[in-house]
Amino acid sequence: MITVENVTVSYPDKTLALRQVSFTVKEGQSLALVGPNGAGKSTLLLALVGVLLPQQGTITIDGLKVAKESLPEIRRRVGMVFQNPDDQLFMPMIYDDLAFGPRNMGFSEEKVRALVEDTLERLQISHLKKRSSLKLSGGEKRMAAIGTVLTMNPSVIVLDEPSSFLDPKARRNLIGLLGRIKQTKIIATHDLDLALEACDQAVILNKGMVAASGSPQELFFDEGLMEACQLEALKRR
Amino acid sequence: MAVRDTPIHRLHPLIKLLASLGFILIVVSFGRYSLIPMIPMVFCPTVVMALSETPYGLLLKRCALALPFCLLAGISNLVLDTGTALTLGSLSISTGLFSFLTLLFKAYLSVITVLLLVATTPIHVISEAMQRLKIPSLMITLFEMTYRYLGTLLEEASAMALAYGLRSRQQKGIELRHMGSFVGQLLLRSFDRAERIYQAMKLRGYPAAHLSPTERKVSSRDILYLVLVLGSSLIFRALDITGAVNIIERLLP
Repeated sequence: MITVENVTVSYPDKTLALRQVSFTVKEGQSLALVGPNGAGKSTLLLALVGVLLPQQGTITIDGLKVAKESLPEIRRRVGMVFQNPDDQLFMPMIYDDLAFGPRNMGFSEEKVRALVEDTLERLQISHLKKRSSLKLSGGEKRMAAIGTVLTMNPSVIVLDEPSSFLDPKARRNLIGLLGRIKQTKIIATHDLDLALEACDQAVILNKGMVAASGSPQELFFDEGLMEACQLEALKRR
Repeated sequence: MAVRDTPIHRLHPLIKLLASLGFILIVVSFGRYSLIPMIPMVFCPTVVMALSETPYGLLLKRCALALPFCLLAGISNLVLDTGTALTLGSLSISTGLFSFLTLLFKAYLSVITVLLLVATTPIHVISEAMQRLKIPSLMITLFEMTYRYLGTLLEEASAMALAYGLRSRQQKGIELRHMGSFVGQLLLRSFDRAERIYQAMKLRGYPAAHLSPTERKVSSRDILYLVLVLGSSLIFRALDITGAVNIIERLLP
């Protein structure tokens, strides 16, 4: 369970990025974080993994408060997939990228190999094992980036704009994959269709504050609310 | 390349690291005008390249990346060191040229040695070997970061150069008047990108303070490799082939 309580985060230049943000996510649920550019979605994700620490309020992951002293354990529990897969894939081969986390966790090479092979198979990207990330398509890079987090088997996965850089087919594969991932997920996205299909809860952020929360079906078709939050409501088909 | 199965790839990483460090130390210990005595030092890298099935062309090309830095460092030798080292007929070769070429040769041999190590050993295994040698963690971090960010820098530079080339009039490289802002932007962009990569590394448990529990023992084959590399290099260091060259010179008409 994730609890975010009255969280306020500001950047070193005093820009207030999040103001009094609160919500909870139960175990196994998927939460969509939506909002216009600059609403604070990515900041909130960085706060969840302790890259940014709140000036006020608390974030707890399965009862453990996100704080400087708990960061190693928090990062074992929460895996983050960055918006740009090129930031996540920095090793010479995809195999090494997927093995990076488990190796840092101190696992033996046999265990690391088993974890990587299993993840590659789950993501259906075993053929990319020995390839460099520089030569992959956007969809392949995205799958590999998610794989780097899955090999560490975290209880929570946060994804920043997972459908950016993807063509329709790769996006469809991603939605299928998100449905198969059993961990608790927080997905920051502009892609309301993806959020509608892959998430059972949504929080709309606007100017660093929670503008609304509820089910995606309730929120995303509400034209007045979406317009007030500088978003485009979905049309009922 | 680092995961092939050749006699060199199968060697113990600690031994490969020690052999490489030892070889580089012997190379840099040559005097500033020791161009000819250094020639036999190409023996070890050539044999290792062949045994590890590393493509010669690729390695030499990558090595060439280090040359501009050596040129910058050694160019002053040509101007400041003007003594005569050798006279071939009416042509006299200055000591400056000799020291400049020696510097280039040393750099080339050292870079080839490091590239061969990286080409035959996965990077995390080299880091572990460095940890076992009790090399300070700051140095290991610097080594890992340099390895990772070099690629990032090149990637950013090629993306920027492509964007520039597509909108420039002549489409022939970067004009000198734009070079300052190009390099400045490149550094700023790479800094941002490096920051995000570092975050991604930290979120996946970096830096790990522990060594792999499955460390294997050093075998007699590993020891033999170390003795052969360092032994032959020390012999070449002690053996000055300048005398042999002089004899050949005298025998020639």
